[in-house]
Amino acid sequence: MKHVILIFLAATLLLSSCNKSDSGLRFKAVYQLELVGIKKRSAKLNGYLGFENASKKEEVAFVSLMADVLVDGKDVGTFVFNDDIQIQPVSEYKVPLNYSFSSEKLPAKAEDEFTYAIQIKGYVVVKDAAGDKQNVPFDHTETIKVKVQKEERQEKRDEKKEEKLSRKELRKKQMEELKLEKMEKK
Amino acid sequence: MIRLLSLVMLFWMPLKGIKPDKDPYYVKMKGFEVITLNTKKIELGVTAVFFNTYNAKAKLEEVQIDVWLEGQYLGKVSQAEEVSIPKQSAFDIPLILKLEPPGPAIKNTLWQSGRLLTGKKVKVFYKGYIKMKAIGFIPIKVPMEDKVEFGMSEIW
Repeated sequence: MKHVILIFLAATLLLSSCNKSDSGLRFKAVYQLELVGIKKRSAKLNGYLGFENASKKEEVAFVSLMADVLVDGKDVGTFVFNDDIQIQPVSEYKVPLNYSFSSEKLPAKAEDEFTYAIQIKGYVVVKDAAGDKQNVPFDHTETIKVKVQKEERQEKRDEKKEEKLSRKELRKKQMEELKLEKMEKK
Repeated sequence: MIRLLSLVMLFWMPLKGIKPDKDPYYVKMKGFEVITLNTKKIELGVTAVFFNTYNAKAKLEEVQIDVWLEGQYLGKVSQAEEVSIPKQSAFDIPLILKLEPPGPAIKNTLWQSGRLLTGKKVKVFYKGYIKMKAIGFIPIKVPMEDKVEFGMSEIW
């Protein structure tokens, strides 16, 4: 009798663990998160929010995503994304995060500090095969280094200088080649 | 006649690209906070989140939202600061509710704040609309209605 109970328990445990891996959409990671273009009035948060459909059989219908965006614990806005897409089994879906918000909401930082703790907290609304809606919560915090406009400007200037120099060199080479050709002809 | 038609087309074509399939909508209320709380003055703050489905920036014209606390009418909220509405994006409207003493609303609010201290939750009901204008002249009215339940931890 004991053996039967043990086998029964083992079987139920095995089945329940199998079901867990078949639970549908999950938050996976945030990719390429960056805070760019911090101006007097606005700032932009870019990146991708990755979700994976862990189910091996069923596809999941993505409906919408809603997330609060916090910078150093301060709420700066809400990001909403709507889509009508079927996420295939055992595959990943990346939600493009292109969120502009008022830079006045950003916590003030000393000039030599350029890091912010970005928290994206919310949920994804999905539809299962039966058409029932479910909320999949997620909460991600990441510290990112912020590029200040001065740095960005300097980089752009350097890039332009390099381009100009390369163009000049090209022209010089072309002129020399032309001169050589003319000399040869003569 | 051809000129008239071309003029109509000239205005209609860009507008067609701006007008969305779905109207702008209310998303949620968040960040309920008590700014001032004493027997003379009560100021409550909350942020309303809406979504602009238009492919154009818009300007917020009017906010008309009534607030009830546990069935007791508290008053109308007013816009706390200027809001810029980006295209096809969610936007926050910081709101403030000022209660002028004396009145049953202020007493009820104080009573409910006492309830909060004991760990109980209170229900806040919002109903109203906002008016905005897309590209300066398309009037849009967005209705909203929501019931939010919150406890002490969500305020302080």
